Amino acid sequence: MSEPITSGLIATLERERKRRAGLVLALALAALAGLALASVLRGAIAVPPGEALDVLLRAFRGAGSDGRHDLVILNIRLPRMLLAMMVGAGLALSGAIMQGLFRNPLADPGLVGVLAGAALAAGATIVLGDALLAPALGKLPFAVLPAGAFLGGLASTLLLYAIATRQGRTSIATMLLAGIALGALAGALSGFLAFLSDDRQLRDLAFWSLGSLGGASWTKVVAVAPILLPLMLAAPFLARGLNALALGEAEAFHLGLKVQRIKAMAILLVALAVGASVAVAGMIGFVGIVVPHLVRLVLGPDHRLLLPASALGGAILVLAADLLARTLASPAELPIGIITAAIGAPFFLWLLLRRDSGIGP
Amino acid sequence: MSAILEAGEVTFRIGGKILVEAASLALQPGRITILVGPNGAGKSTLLRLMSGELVPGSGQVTSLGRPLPDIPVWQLACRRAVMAQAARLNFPFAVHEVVRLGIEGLGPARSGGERSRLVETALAQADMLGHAARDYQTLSGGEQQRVQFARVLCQLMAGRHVEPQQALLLDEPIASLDLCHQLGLMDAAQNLARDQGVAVLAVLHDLNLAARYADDLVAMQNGRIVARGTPDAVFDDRLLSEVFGIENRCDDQLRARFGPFVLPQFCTIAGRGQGAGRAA
Repeated sequence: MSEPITSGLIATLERERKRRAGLVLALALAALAGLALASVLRGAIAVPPGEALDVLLRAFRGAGSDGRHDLVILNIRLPRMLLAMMVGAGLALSGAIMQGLFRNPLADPGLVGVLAGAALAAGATIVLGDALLAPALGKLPFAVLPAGAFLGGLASTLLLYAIATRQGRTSIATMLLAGIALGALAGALSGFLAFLSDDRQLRDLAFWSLGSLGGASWTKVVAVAPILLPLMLAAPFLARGLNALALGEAEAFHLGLKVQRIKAMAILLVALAVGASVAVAGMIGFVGIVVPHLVRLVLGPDHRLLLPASALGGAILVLAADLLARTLASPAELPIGIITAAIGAPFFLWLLLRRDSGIGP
Repeated sequence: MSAILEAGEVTFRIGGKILVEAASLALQPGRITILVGPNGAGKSTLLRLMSGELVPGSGQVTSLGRPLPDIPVWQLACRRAVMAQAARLNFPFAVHEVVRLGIEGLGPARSGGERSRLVETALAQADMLGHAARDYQTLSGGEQQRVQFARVLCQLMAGRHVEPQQALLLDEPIASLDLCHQLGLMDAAQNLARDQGVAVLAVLHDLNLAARYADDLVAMQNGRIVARGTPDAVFDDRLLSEVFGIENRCDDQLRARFGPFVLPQFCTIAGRGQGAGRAA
């Protein structure tokens, strides 16, 4: 079989796809930059744009602070903006990875109970940590909460995978149903924790269950960045594996990929991203399902593009949602989970309605 | 010389049920081996054992003398490609992206231009180049099968530089194809065997096509290999009625002109609509 001279049709198709991707990513980056600027400028306390920029520039040059708005800009809005971008990117990325792992566009850490599991673990550390850990450790170290949320996310992902997988095949219907059951169980246990807790703990729990970036601080940014940033760097190495997994686990093995290692890495990354996000921002739902789906509509399902584009899209969505949460009812603040759910739930229904026989469980 | 893929006395059971029992099969370069047998005979399981996807409970599968578990998966992927039964996708991959997956797992990287040429050549050989930009999910079952065939062709072409001795495993590759493309796919497999020395193993239900393309015909029943040899030797009325439970006629006049030819008359297994085929 001689390899005939080709017309370059495929090369052309791929070039066009790359050009389109470059354009979309450039637009998304511009949107992200615009939103980032807006989120520093807008808020409950009016800061004239010129002055805000001045504060930023001075801080950037390392000059001393003397402006009245330094605290607002540098210690509240700037960390909050960074946290929103990281949390959004982490949630959207974990959604995209989970959908690739389960080979289903409906899989999402929020829908299948992973988020709830992480929130339950975080809640348990808040309520039970005071009673059980504090006497031993003195004041609870900050790392306990993210660690708890991470372990909760990891445990629920593993449990879900174990329940839904029989003889190497993952049943999507079982996964969605088991996810609902796990989510409900985690919700009930969280409710029980609320029943046990005192007033201060109750406020903390409410914060977790609806999600908020209100507590953003440089401490949180510094705590989460070492988890979320390496994650973004690690994700591209999963892309080839997730592409092959789309054909099925056996097929991915036939294609020469180490399937078990890819699966283990994907589960670990999802648990890390979800755990870290829940630890600093509580439960922010629907980001993981809305963003990857939109990216697939625009750029196609190739994970080499999907993963970075989803991270970017997630950052945009959460940053925008947080901006709305801060400004819609200003000076009061809406929980960001309400905004993402208000966008995400109708979107999810629309997804179900337009779904043809080719997609889905 | 050791075979490209060889199963030695492999047995596979699941939940106490034996799916393949003490089966031995060697795939030699340039030869087409075709597995036939009724549903549940263990054909697909034997194929999956030989691909390395399943690990036998006893016995072992070797490739060029080495046990499969000792060979790195990427190297194995350069050496053998597998086309499983109907593969569905839940994401809207374009046809050319699905074919490109054939190269994803192979070790040594290739330039983007070379990859594109391999994808295009494979698509052309499977007669799917005209659909290269289509969404795989919107194709018919037969078209999807041709894309999957293009994918395994692509994998073999890409792996050839690393592993010159290759095997192609096809599990009911023509189940959804029209007659023209059935012949087209089997011809392509035959060309791979003749020109490139690829060892081909295919599971087929169409006995006449099996007879036409097989160098070695292997019949399975209840997890065991019950007959093997040239199509002429394997297909006789007794074996067919025993293995498949059909009353049939291997037409002698046709056999003289075209080789073995099977025209099923009616099913002899109780409760399976006996006589329903008599009118034919």
